Amino acid sequence: MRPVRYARHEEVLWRRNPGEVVLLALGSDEVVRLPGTGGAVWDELSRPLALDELANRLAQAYSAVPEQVATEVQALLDELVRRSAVVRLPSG
Amino acid sequence: MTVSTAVTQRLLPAVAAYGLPSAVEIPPRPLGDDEWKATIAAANGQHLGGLLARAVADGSFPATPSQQDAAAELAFRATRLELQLERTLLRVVDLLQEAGLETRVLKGSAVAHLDYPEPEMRSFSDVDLLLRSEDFDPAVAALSSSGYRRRYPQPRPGFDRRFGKGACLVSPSQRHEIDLHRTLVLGPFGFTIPLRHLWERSSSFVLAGRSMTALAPEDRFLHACHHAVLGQQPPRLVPMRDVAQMALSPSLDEDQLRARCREWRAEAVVAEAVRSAWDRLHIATSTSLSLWAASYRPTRRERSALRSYAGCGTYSAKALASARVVPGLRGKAAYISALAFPQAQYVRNRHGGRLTRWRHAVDEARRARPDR
Repeated sequence: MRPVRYARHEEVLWRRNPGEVVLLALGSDEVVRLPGTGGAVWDELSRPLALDELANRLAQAYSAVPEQVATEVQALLDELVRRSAVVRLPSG
Repeated sequence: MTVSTAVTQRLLPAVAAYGLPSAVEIPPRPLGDDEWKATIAAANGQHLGGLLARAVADGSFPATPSQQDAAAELAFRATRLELQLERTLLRVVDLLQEAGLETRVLKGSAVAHLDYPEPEMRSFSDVDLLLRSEDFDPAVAALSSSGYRRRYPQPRPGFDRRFGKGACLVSPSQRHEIDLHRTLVLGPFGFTIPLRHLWERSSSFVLAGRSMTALAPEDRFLHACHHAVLGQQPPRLVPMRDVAQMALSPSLDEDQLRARCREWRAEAVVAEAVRSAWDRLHIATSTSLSLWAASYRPTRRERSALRSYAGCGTYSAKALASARVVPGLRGKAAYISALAFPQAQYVRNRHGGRLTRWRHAVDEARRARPDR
C-alpha cells in the first residue's frame, strides 16, 4: 500500500518573493508566508510526494538528517493542510 | 540634486528598468537613510515593490541588511494585495460567466503572468476586465446583485455601452476596485479602436487552476502603449516598463502589430509610448520598433488628439476631442447631449451639484487652448 502523499491544493494563488513563498488559498482569508525552507517544501510539492520522499529530498538539499527534517516538515504540512493550501492524497 | 529629484529622476527609473538592457546608472553603494526612505516610499507609490526587492536581493541595487529587509517587506505587502486582487478577479469572472458573459483580463494580472519573466515583478492595485459593449449593462447588473457597487453612475442610461470607456465598481468589502472596460482608453483614441479586434484572438494564463483569457500579445502591447501615453499624467513608470518589456519580447509579431496600429489609428500613440519608454528607462538596445518610433512624425490631427490627454488634459478635454471621432451625426449629437445634460445623480456624485459642475466647466474653458 502506498503511503499518504501531499500535493499543492489546486485552488491556491501564490508568488515567490526573494526569500519566501507567499500563498493565499481561495477558501481562506489568510495570506501564508513560507520563508526559507518552507519555500523549498512548496517547490517540492509541485508534484505529489510522500512525507519520507519529501524529507529525503530536503535533507539532501540542506545536508540534514532525514528523520529530523521529517518531523519538522510533518508539522508544516499539517498546518498547510489546515489552511487549505496543501491536500492529502489518500493512500492506495 | 535634492533627494526627491534624485529619487524621481535617477533611482526609480533604475528600479523600473531592472532586468532590461538599460544604461541607467545604479548607485554603486547603499543609499543613505534619507534617499533610501524616499526611494521606498516612491517605489511603493509607483507599484515598483516587486522589482525593487528583486534588484536588492540579487545585488543589482546595493543595500544594507536593514534596507534588504525593508525591500522584502515592501514586496510582501504588494504581493499580499495582488493575491487578494486575483481572488477577487476569480470571483468576478465566475459571476460574469454564470451570467453568460465572456471577459478578457486586462493589464495587471494578465500582463504579470503573460509578459514578465516572473509575475512577482509586475505589481498592480486593481482588477481590470474587458466586456463586449452589449454585455456591459448585464455585467454591471450581475455584479450589483452580488454586492458590487458603481463608484459613479453613468451620465445617462445606455451611455456606457454606447460611448463609455468603462465603469469602476467597488467590491462588497470596499477594499478592491474592479474596472470594467468596454474599450481600452478614454477620449478620441478609445473611439478609433475596432472593438471586435479585442475578441478575435486571445492568450490564456492559469490562476489557481483556472484558465483566464486575456488579449493577444499585440493587443496587450497596444493597450500598454495607450495606457502609458494616454493614462495618468505624468506617465507612471510601470506602464513604461510594460511597453519596454513587451517591445523587447521576441513573441511580439511586428507585422501583425503594424497592421493593428494602422487599423486602430494608433501609430502616434505607439511611437510616443516606445520613445518615452526607451528614454525614461534608458533602454540601451535598438530594435526595428524603437527605430520606427524614433522616426515617426505625427500628423496635425494626431498631435491635436494627443494634446487632449497631455499635461492637465481633463475628462472634459478628452470628451470634447472624442466628439470629433464619434461615428455619425446622430451619434455625435447623442454623445454631446448626454455629457452636456447628464442625469442628476451623475452630476451629484461626480461634481457635487449642477452649480459646481458649471463652475468647473467655466474653469476648463479658461484653461483650454486652441489647436496649434
